[in-house]
Amino acid sequence: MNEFLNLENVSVYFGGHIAVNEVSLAIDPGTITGLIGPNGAGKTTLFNVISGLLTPSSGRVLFADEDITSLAPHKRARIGIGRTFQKLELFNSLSVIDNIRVSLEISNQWNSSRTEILGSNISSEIDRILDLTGLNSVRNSMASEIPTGQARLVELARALVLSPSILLLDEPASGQNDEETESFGLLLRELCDSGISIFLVEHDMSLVMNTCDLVNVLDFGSVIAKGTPEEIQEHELVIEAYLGFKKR
Amino acid sequence: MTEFITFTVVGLATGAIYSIASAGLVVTYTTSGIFNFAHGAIGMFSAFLYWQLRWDDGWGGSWPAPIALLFVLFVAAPIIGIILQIVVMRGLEATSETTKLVIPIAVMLGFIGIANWVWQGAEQRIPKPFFGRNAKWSIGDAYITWHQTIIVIVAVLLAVALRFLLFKTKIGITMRAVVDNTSLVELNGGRPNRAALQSWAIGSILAAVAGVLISPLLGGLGVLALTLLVVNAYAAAIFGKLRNLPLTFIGGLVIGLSVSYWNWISSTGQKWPWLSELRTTLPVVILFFVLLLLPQEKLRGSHAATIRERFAVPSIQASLVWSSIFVVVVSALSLIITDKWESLLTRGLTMGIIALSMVLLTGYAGELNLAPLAFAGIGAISAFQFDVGSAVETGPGFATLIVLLAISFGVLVFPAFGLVRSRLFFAVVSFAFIVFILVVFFDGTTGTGIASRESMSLSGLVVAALISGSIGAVVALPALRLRGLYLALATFAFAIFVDRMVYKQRETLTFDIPLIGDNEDVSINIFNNGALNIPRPNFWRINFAEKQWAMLIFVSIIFCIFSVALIQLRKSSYGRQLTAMKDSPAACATLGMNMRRLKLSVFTLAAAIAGFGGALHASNLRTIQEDYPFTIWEGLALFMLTVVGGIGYVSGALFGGIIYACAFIVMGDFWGKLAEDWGSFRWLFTFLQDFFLLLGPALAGIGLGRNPSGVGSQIFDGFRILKKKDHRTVLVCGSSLMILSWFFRVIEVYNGWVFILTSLPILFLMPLLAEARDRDVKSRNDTLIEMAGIEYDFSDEFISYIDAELSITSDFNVDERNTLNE
Repeated sequence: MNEFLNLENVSVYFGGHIAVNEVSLAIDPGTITGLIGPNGAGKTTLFNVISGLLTPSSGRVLFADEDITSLAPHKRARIGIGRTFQKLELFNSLSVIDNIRVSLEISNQWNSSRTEILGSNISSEIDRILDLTGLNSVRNSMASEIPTGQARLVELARALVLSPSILLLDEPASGQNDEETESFGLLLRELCDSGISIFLVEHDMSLVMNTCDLVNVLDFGSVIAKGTPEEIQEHELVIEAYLGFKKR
Repeated sequence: MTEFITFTVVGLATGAIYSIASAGLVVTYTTSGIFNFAHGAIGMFSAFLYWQLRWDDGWGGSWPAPIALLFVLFVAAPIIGIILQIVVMRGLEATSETTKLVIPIAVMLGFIGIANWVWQGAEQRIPKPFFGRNAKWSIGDAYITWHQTIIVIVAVLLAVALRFLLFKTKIGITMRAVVDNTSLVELNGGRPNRAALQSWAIGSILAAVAGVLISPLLGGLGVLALTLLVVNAYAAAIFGKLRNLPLTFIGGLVIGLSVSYWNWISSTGQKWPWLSELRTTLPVVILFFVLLLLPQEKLRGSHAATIRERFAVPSIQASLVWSSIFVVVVSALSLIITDKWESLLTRGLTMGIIALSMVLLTGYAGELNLAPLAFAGIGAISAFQFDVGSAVETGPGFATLIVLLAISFGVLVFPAFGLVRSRLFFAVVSFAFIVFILVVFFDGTTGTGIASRESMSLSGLVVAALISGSIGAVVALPALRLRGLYLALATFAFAIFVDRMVYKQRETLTFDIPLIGDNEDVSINIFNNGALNIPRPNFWRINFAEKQWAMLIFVSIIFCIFSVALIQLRKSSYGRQLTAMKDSPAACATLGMNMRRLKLSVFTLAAAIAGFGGALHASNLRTIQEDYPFTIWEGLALFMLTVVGGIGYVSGALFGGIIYACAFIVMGDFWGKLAEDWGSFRWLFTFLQDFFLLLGPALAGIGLGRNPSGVGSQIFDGFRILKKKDHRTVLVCGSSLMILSWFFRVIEVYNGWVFILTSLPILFLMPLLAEARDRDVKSRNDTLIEMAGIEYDFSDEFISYIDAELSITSDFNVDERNTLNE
C-alpha cells in the first residue's frame, strides 16, 4: 500500500466565513488517523473537500502523489477513497441488504477487473460484508427503520464494498452505545490491519484515543495540534479549545 | 434610429414588468424555499380583478383608477398571498421536491379554474393603459406612451424599495435570516412564520403589479396567455439564481429587450415563417439555455429520513396477479358499459401509459419532468408522420432514419443496464436490426409507401417511442447537471417550446438524410393546419376503428405489460441504482457512480414510454389539435394527478390517467344532468358542475399535502386486509355478489345505475367488514386475558391458549407448573 493522502494548505470560504483555513495534513498508509475538534471546527467540510463534494477555495489535495483537487467525486471513489456521512445518507427506500447490493452493483460497473473476479458471487460477497459489520440481524430491514448506530454501520459496509485504500469515517460511532463503540473500535483495527487507511472524525474520545495512531485537532478551521493520542491529551491548546480555558 | 428607440422602449417596458414579477418570485422563494408556480396566475387574477373594478358593466365597473389600484395591489393581492401561505404552503415542510412543486402547480390550476369560472364567456375584455392610449411623449420621432414610462419608473422604485426593505429593515433582515437557518432565527426570538407571511404578501403584490401593468400591452385579457406571460419572468429569476435581486432585474431587462429586438429583426415574426412563434417563445428558450449554463449544482444528499413520502415495491407475482385481474375486470366491464364510457376509460388508460413515464422518471429516479405531454405529443406527431402524413421522397429514407434512431437509443439506454463493449455492440446491433425488420418487412419502404396509410402500424408506435426518446435525451442535457426545481423549469420551458414552436408550426420542413437519395429525403408538415388525423390500429384482423371495446382491452393489456415491466425494472439492478440516485446522489458519487449516464438513460426511456403512450392516445382520439390534448396545461394536470395518485407506484399512474380523463368529466356530466332534470335547483347543480370541472383537479392537488405518498397506495392498503386467510369468506362472498350483479347487468335485468349502486357498495364494504371482524376478534381476545378467572374459567384450554400465544412448549410447561404447584 503506497497510496496516501496529503492536504496542502487547503482553505474553504463560505462567503466571508472561513470554514477551513490553510490546513495541511497527511494520512500515512496503514494507519488510523483521527480528526477531532469542537462543533463547527470544519471537520466535515474537510471531508467534503477530500471526497470531492466541495472544491477548496485554495490549496491542493494529493492522493498517491497525484493532484486530485479538481477530480469529480465519483472518480475519487474509483481511485480508492471511500467515505461515510455524519448526516446519514442511506438509500432509505431500500433494505439494508439492497443498500449493500446496489453499492456492489454500482462499483461493478466501473471496476471491470473485480466484476470478473466476483462474477456471480455477489451474494457471497454481500454475506461477507454483512458478517464483517455485524449487520446480519437487520439484513432485511428497511434502511430507514433501523437505529442510528446500525445505520452508521450500513454506511460503513457500503463504503467497504469499494475495497477502498482509504476510508473517511464521519462520526461513525455517534448513536452507538458503549458496547457497540468498543466492538466498532476493534472492527476499525481489523480493517486497518487488512490494509485500509482510516481517517476518522469522532466525538467519542475513548474511541479516538484507543484506536487512533495519530490525532489531528481542528479548531476554527485551523489545525492546532498533531500527535499521538497521549500527546494530544496533554496539549495545552487542545484543552483550551475543548474546555474554553487554560489548564492550570 | 427611431425604430431602434421604439423597440428599445418597448423592450425596456416589458423587461421591467418581467423584472418586477421575477423579483416577487425571488422574495417568496428565498424565504420559504417554495418556487411559486402560481405566481403568474396571481398576476393574471389581479389583472382580471382590476379590469372588473374599472371597466366591467356589472359588479364594480366604475371605480376610479387609484382606488381600484389600491384595492387590487394592497388589499386583494396581500390577502391572497397570506391565505396561500397559511392554508397551503405552510404544510409543505419536510415534503419532497415533487410535492413542493405539485402543490403550487395545483394552486395555479385553481386560479386558472376560478378565473375561467368568474370571467366566462367570449366577451372581449380590453384594459386601457394608464392615462389612455394617446398619452405619449417623444424622443425625436419615437413616441413613448405614459404607460411605458410608468412601468419603468415603477420598476426602478420597486427595485430601490426592495433593496431597502431586505437590507435596512428588521423585517427584511429576518426574512433573509429565515433562508439561511430557520431554527436559528427561532432560537434568537425571530418569527419565521411571520417572515414567511410577509414575504408571501410582498411576492403576491409584486405579481399583481406585474399583472396589472402588462395586461394593457396584450390587447385583450386571456387567462392562459396572461398566466404564461408572467412565466416568462421565470427566466429572469434564474438569471439571479433565485437569490440575487439585482441580477434578477437585469435578467428581466435582457429578456424584454431580446424579445423586442427579435421582433424588430424578424418584422414581428414574418421574415422567417417557421420561426414566427419565436417571439412568444424566446423567453423560455433563454430560460432553457440559462439553465444549461448554470454552474454544476453541488452534490447533496437528500437526508431522506425527514421526508414523508414512502413507496414500497410490490412483488412480481403480485403485479402479475393484479394485472390479470385488471384486464379481466376491464373486459368484463366492456360488456356492460356504453361506448361513451368505453372511450372515456380508454382515454384514461392511454393517459395512464403516459403517466407511467413519470412513475419511472420521477417516482423511481427522482428526476422531475413537467413536460410529459410534450413527449407524448411528439410521439403522436411522429406516428402520424410515419404512418400517414409525411412525404417520403426516397423509400429507404425513413428506414435509414429509424435505424439511426434505434442505434442512438440503444447506445443511450443499454449501457445503464450494465452492457459494455462487445455485449453492448451486440445488443445495439440486434435492436437496430429488429427495428429495421419491423419497418422494412411489415411496412415496406418503396416510394411513398409508408405514409398515407389508413391504420396505425405497430412500427408507427415504435417510431413514436424512438423519436420521442431521442428528443428526451436532448432535453435531459440540463438534467445531467441539475436536479429538482431547475430541472422542472427546464422541462417546463421545453413544454412551452413544444406548445408554440411545434403545435403551432405550419411550415413544411425538409430533411436530408446523408448518403440517401437527393437532398430532400423527407419533407414534413409537422402540424397540418392545426389538426392531425391519426388512424386507429388494425392488427390481428381486429378493426379497432369500429370496436371501441377492443381498443379498451388492447390498451388495458398494454398498460399492464408496461406496468409489470416497470416493476420488474424497479426490482432490477438498474432500478436499485435509480432508487439510490434518488435517495442520495452524494452517496452514489462516493460509490463511484457516474450519474450522467444513468440520468440520460432514464430520461430517454421515460420519454420513449411517453411517446408510445402519446401515439396510442392520439390514435384512440383519432384527432389531435394544437390545443388538445397535449398542451402544457393538460400536462401539468396529469403530472399533478399522478403525484396525487402516488407517483412511486404504477397504480398512481392508473389513478392519474383515469381521474384526469374521466372523473371530472363524469362528475360534471352528472351534475349537468341533474341541473337539466331538476329545474328549480338548476343554479345549485350548475354551480357544482362548474366547480368539479374547473376546480376539481386543483383541489385534488392541494389535498395532496395530507398524504404525500399518494392515494393509490392508500386504497391498496385498505384492501390488503382481504389477503388474510381469516377474511377469505368475506372476499369470496363479496366477489361472488359483484359477479352476480355484473351478470344481471349483462342479461339486462337492470340498467347501469343499478349495477353501480349494487357493486360499488359491496366493493367498499368488503374491507370495512374485514376490519370490523378483526376488531371483534381482537376485543374478544382482550377480554379473555383481562377477565380470565372472573368471566371465564381458568381452564386447561385457556392455559394452553396462553402457552401457544407465548410459544411455550406444553411438555416443559406441565412439569414447570407441577413444580410450582408443589
